[in-house]
Amino acid sequence: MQKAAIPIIVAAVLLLLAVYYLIPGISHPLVSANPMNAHYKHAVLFVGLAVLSLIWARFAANSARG
Amino acid sequence: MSVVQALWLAVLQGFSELFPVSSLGHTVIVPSLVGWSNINQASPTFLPFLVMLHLGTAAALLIFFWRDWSAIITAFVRSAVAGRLTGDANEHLAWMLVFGTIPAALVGFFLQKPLQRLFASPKTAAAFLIVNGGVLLLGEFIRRRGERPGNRGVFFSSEHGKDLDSLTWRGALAVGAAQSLALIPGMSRSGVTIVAGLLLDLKHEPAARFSFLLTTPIIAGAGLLEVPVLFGAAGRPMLGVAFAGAVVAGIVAYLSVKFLMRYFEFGRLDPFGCYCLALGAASLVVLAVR
Repeated sequence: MQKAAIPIIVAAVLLLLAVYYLIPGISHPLVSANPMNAHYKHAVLFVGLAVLSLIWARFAANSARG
Repeated sequence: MSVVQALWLAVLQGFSELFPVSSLGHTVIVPSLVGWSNINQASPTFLPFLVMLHLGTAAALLIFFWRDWSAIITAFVRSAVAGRLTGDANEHLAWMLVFGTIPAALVGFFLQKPLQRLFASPKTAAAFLIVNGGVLLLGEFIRRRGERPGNRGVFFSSEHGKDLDSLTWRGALAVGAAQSLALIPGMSRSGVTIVAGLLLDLKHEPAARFSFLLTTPIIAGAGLLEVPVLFGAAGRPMLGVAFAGAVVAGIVAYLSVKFLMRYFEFGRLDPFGCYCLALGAASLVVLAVR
């Protein structure tokens, strides 16, 4: 289960980043439009990466079980 | 932009997106060469048009490879749910496509606009078209050097290289990273990914197949993310022309991929490399003289 800890943490961070890019009124780095707006495309990207991390965690958990 | 111009641009996009000759480079250079000064690619109405052309091309790729995609998606879902690999070839290919898509998606997402702002002049695109030609020719040269002596080498060599099942996740990441170069106008997405595949010792046909499969999620994803602009104030007046353009680009892209998959059974990248060198050099001269 320890092997799955890292991808789960990565997934949690990515989900937090997705939420962060959805919040208007705060400055968002790495955007081409107004940094104070909500950036839905960034949120979609981070959710996608979070899903991949969760799949990675599942693979890691299975390999740890042998 | 007139309807005729729009349809010509659609033909150009459908052809040059899949041939290893840079669609972005052609879209930047050709209007400038033929004097279409009324087309402002930075205008807000041009983006919806471009989005539709890309969606048309992605649809053509999906239709052409629909059996592959059906098997790949099924295998991906099965392995993701089970959390283990069974050794199935489609499962392997699905994960290689995931690894290959991540670098290009990230670089494209964060750097596409700055890079295109930096390099989007016709002269720069023409210069990078020459670089693209050099990359294609160099890739073939290196691959030929790796072949056994006695092969005929130029354009039609004997069987050499490996199939897609030999591709590792590191190799897929490398091909994906190479794909990021296509953000520079003049550099071809299919060109650099096929060359990367060849340098990983893939045969031409599997390298081309992986390149086209890898292209589909990137083009479709980039297009789908921009769909809201189609229904915005800037997009609505262009919707009819953009839709017609998408159909034309899709038909041309379908014919292109059909031709290229047969071509790469025996054909090589050299003719495209020579074409890019010639067009890039000629464009630089013409643009400098004007």
